[in-house]
Amino acid sequence: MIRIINTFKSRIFLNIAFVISLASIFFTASITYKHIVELNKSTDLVMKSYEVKLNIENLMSELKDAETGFRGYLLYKDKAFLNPFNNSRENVDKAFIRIKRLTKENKTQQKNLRELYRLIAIRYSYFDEYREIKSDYKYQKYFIANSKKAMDNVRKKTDEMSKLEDYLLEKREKSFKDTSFYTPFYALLIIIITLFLIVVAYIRINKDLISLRSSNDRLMVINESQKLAEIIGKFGSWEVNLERNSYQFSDNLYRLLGYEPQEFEPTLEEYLKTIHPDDLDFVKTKSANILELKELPGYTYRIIKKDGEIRFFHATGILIQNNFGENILVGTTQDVTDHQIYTEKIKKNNEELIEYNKRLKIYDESSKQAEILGNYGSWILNFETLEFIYSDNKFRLLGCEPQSFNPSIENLLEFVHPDDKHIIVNGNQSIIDKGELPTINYRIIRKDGELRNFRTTAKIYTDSLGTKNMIGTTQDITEEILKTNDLKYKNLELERSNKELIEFNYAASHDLQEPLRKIQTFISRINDNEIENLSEKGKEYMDRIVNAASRMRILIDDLLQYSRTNKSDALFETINLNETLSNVTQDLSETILENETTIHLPKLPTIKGIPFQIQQLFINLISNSIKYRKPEVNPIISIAYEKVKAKTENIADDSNSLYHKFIVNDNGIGFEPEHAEKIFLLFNRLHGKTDYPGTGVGLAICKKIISNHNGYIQAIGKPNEGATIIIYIPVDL
Amino acid sequence: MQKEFLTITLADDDEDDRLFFQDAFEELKINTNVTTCNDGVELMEYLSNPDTILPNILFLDLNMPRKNGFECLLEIKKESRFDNIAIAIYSTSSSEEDIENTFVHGANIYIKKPSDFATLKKVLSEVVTLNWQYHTSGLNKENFLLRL
Repeated sequence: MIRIINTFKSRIFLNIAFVISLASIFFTASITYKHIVELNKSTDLVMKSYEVKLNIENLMSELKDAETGFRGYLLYKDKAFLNPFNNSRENVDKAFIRIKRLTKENKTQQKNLRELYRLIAIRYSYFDEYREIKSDYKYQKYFIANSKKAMDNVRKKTDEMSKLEDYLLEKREKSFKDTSFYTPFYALLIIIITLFLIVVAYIRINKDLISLRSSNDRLMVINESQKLAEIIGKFGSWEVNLERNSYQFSDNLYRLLGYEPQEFEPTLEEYLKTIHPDDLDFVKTKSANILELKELPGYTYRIIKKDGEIRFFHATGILIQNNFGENILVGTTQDVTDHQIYTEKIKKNNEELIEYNKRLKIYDESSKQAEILGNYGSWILNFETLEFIYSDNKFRLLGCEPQSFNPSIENLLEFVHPDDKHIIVNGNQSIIDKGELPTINYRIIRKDGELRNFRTTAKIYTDSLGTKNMIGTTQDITEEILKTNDLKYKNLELERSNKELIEFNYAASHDLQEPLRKIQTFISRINDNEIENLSEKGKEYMDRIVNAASRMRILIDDLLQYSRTNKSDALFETINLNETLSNVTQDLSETILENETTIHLPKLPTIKGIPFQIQQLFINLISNSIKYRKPEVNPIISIAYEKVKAKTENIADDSNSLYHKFIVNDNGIGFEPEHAEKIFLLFNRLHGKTDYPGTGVGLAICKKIISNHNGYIQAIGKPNEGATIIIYIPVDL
Repeated sequence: MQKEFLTITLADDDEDDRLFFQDAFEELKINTNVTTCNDGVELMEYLSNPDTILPNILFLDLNMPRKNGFECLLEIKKESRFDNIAIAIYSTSSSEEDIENTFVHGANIYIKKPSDFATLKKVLSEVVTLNWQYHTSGLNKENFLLRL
């Protein structure tokens, strides 16, 4: 703006100077011209005066010649003397006409000339007269006297005229002198003024030129740095001439939009095309009131670059008027995407910080409560100052009020049980020497005298300022120790009772069997040798004794088998079930044949399991099916197999684990559906001993075997419609 | 039938069992010379006696006071002198553990005491008529336990 005013002023000055110099040159030139004209005029006048004088003298000399000639005639009467006289008349007339012409502007001279003409005429008349009369002396005398008088008059008149002309000449010469004196002066003045003005104008123009050139240089530099600044600052500038509706976009504005500089016509339509459709109305509203507001308030909107990328732009502008009074909106548009992202990031970070702070407060509160609930306290040891900080609950654990003393190793030791003081001392030494503290257990005596067990663990922690700290937790583990001791005791008890059970097992297998075996052997001996000596009743009693004894044997055997079905002492092996089932049918071949049983076996898989238990499982299932047959129908047993996913089956596992699923189905007497769970219980029987002999252990053993294999067993049945046992054994154990 | 008597020794602390054992052999009418010992200590003393004619077959009960059958088995197997004695474990127990242990430590056959006399006779008859050489060379866990 300032620069514009400067140039403007300079221009006015130049205009004024130009006008002034033109005026002064014109003025001096006209004066000079006038002087030259005057000089010419005065020269003419001087010349004219000289000519007049010359002609007068000429006239006089003609008259004198005429006089002289006439006088010669008179003396010598020779008419040859009259020739000059005759010529002179003609010459006098000619001179007279010339004088008359020359002095036509001078009335005095005209008058004098007329007078002179008359006098000359008189003089000539005397000559003519004389020639007529010729020789009359008297007359001669008279004539001479008169002609002398006329001649004198003429001479007098010509002198008068000469004098007047001399006076005029003198005057005119003076005027000429004056004029010719001033004219060079004026001319010089013109030259000096003109030169001066030229010099001034030159200096001025030169000065302006220099300043113009330097401001042009500056402008070029500014222009270049503006271009660079636009690139670095990611902004572009633009100009809108509202009057002419013409637009100008800087190169970088194109680049920001993803185009080559000036790639498209700088028009509003083209520019609006780049704006994000969602922001188009917003931008239009913003730029609507420019004429009233005189500026474009800064606003941010989105654009879509040529390559489709969305960027954030911030535009701002101001309305100015150019020299022609046209409204021009100039503005800049900046790519503020990074800034926008940065701002959003900061905003987000800030929000996160607030959130963290909130959480920290919650955490602080909850950790205080946790310390109380969890019976622990925390502490920090600053390695540099060797200062301790205890949490409130650490004080409470020692039976003290929170922060009631300044914690240190020394006053901690006062609380420690005398026998455990060395643990703390060693721990402290370990912290100092190795910078670490192993987990230590020790006893303290609380302020109220109660003995408590403490456990301390600690960890090195370097805070954000680089200070090394040790953060530790001390827990009151008295209850835990009591519980552990209790558990240990209970464990021992369990072990003992387990041992007793094993001993009982042995007793059952050996000591109980032995007397029974003997009873049975003696019975067999009586039956063999002494039966004839018994009465019929005695024989019947003997039968009953045999039955009871063999029943007891079966019971003991089954019980033993059940108690032996343990997981602990068995190894899981790969079992080919086809082989297992072949063994089973071999073992049961007698029963199978006796009952004319049909068994349908599919191709069975190889599974992981405890071989003799799996075999037992199938023995029990098949012999059960045969045992609970319908009296009049031959047993048909079919086994089906498939590999299934746990979640598709009706079992407690709903994962994706794979299971072997076996369905053992028979056409026997079945059972009431409500007994489906009960049949797996030990010693549980659904039928009378006489109809279906059994101990109620078989399916209980099956269940135990399956649970040893982490599997599931289910029974489905309806009276008279057979029973179905479904077994699931995990594929991966 | 061999002309000589088959020498048989039974070590069992149970009087009834010793009685059944002897009765069974009497009824079997095989030329056997049956000696019984009341426990492991007695057995080892008997076997150690230089005058003792070493038995062809030794029936060994496991559960005995003072020195049990298993200990006796270990001692006998240590002495090369007793290499020719066929050892038949004769026990009430049919626990896998006992069967396994005695098999591993060199017993020749495992007999579970039967609970009737007829079976007992059958078992004993089977054992004494067994071709020991053949049985021992093909001995395995499956035929170790005598099944009838």
